[in-house]
Amino acid sequence: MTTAAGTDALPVRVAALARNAPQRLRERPFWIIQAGVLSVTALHLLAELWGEGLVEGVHPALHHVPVILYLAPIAYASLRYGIEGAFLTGVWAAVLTVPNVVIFHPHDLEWLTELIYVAVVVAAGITMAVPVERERRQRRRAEATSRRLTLLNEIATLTLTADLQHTLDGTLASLVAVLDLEAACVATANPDDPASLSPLARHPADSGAGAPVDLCLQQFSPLHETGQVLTIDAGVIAVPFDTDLPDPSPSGRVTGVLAVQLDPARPRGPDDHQLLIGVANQLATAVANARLRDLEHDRVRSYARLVTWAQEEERKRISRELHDEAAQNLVAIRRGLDTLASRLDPAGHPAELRQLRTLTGETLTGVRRFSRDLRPPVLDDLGLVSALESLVDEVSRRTRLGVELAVHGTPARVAAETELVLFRIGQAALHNVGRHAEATRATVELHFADDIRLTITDDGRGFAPPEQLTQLAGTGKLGLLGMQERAHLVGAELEITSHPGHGTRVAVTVPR
Amino acid sequence: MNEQGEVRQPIRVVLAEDHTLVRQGTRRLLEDSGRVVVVGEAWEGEQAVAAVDRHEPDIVIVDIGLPGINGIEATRRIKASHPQISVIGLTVHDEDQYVFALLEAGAAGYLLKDVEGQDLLRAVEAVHAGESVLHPSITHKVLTRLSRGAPEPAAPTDPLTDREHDVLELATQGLPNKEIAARLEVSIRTVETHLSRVFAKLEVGSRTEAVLYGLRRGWFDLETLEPPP
Ligand SMILES: Nc1ncnc2c1ncn2[C@@H]1O[C@H](COP(=O)(O)OP(=O)(O)O)[C@@H](O)[C@H]1O
Ligand SMILES: [Mg+2]
Repeated sequence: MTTAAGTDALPVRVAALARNAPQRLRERPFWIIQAGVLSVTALHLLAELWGEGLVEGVHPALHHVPVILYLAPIAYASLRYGIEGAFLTGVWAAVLTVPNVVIFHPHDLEWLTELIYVAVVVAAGITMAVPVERERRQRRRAEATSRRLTLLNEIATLTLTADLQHTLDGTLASLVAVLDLEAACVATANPDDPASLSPLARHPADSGAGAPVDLCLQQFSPLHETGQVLTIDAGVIAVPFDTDLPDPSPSGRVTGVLAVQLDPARPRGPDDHQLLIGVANQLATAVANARLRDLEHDRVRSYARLVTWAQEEERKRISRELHDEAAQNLVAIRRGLDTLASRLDPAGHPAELRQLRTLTGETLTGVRRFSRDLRPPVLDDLGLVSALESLVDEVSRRTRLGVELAVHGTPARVAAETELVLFRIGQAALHNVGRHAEATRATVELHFADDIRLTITDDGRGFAPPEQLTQLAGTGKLGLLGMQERAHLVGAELEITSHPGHGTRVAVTVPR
Repeated sequence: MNEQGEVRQPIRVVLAEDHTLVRQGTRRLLEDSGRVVVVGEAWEGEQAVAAVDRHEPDIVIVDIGLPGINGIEATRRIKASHPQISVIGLTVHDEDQYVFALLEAGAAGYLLKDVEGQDLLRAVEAVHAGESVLHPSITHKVLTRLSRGAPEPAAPTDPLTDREHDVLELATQGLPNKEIAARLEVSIRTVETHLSRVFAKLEVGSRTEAVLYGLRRGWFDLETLEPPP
């Protein structure tokens, strides 16, 4: 890695340091250095006074000793401000020596000695600063490398999470922090329209007037090559990438772009570019993975729909078969047995005949219940309102839950699929109330207006619904998810409102 | 033959049932009694309506699950053109909603298909005699529900005589004809005559319908009805 501070000539660096003078004035090291230089100058003046005979018995050469002490602030300055700091401090020390020379050594050649003395000390100080500077530079470089590694590591971890937005936001935030950027943004081409680009994430998120977004959009052209860094102007760098994994070629089709905005006063080197390319690749992978996940999800979903529908059809078929064949045959058998019994003399009634009649009746009851559980005939014969009435009757009879049905608007029959879906959702919701809610009351409401709205409300303990119902699938809880899937089958919207301690409301709205 | 030993005309029935074996079995059972003749059969909804138009029977027995228009719709159409003909619904399902739907369509009664043959026969005879075939608890439920609906406008004039009102009120309480006769100290024949006049004046075919009619016009309220057991 190369930084501006490492490559430039001394004059440039000195100028840069001096330019930042106002800031320096606010720094402690600066004042420590000043205190050091000024104390040494004062000591030097005192020593000269001694040398003039105010204090007897001091060797005149001793008055040169304090100048050596300038080494201390110069060394300190090199530690804090680098070689340019040492240089400026040395020059400053030399300047401060001037009055001393003028006052105490105006005539003899001693002023020359004095100046050489100072020059040597300053030169020694600056020489000392060189290895310190090198050391410091290496440390900075190691630090920067480690920050970059941390960044890549962070990004790699982020791409493992399933939430693409989280990955993108996190990555851009880290990138901006590590490279000290003004802003960053990532955008991808719409799969249906490769020429148009939509931003996926930006950082800072609230940057005014969509600046980084514009940046992304401006930077995109499908003609660019992936895996290269485009310097658009002094402040903007863009890295195109290809999200069509898993076959990324070094110069594949461009389907996305990472754009960053940086301080033009701080040019970046190849290391930064390398890092940006690495990050762009990671982003491409994250986007591609998310798309694959979505695709898989869609497939599972449409499969689930087909299965749901096939299951309903199958149930209906079996239910009808049971009703039209098995149940009717049993009725016919029953009639035959009745006729037989009435033709026989009551005394000649064999017990077997009575048993057969009883058994036929019981079997018929069982078949009827089975057929109804598969698909309530009330729904097909009489419609949703009657089916919900019958459902509510049954739940009230079977459980201790007080359930009420309220119908608003003008009831009308609607498409069989819609009625079935609404009924099944009502059934599943009431089932949940019985199983989980510990409720005392539940209300089923059916509104007929421009659309049809079914709500099931309970006064039970409530729960915290997950953000995505699909999250429940992993734990084998398919009730709520099934409701949602069924709702989508007929273009209905399912809404679950619940808070722990405040009951639950399931609402489904379907257009007529 | 009835209790008084008089010879009565057999009850003329149209039987609408799509399942052949059930239809044949039911027909045999009814005709074996000697009280009923099945004058027409149907195995589809529209066919049932047509058969009633052609034969004008006393009673129609309708399976709810008929192909085409179902038994409930068939009942509605039959009652629209023949208010005096009584319809008995038959189904394998026991949900109350079927009873409500049938009675709303104008049926006189409702029976599960697996009733004992003798009960079916009794029901036909009861409806014919103007008695109720609904279990009192069902009657109560049905009437509660139906009375919740919008009340019909009161008829301009009340066509019934006081005597007929008395008979209808006792009928509303679910009493059998025999009991009504005992209370009013008249013969069963007289009660039956009163009831058939009531049905004719109200243009209904059965006691259930007459009770609903009176209830809708506020002649009596639910409290006069026998509470469910
Ligand atoms: N009416 C309700 N009251 C309280 N909790 C509920 C209610 N409905 C659903 N839940 C909660 O939501 C979870 C998921 O419900 P669901 O998907 O139907 O699965 P399951 O019923 O098989 O547990 C339940 O385990 C329960 O904790
Ligand atoms: Mg049938």
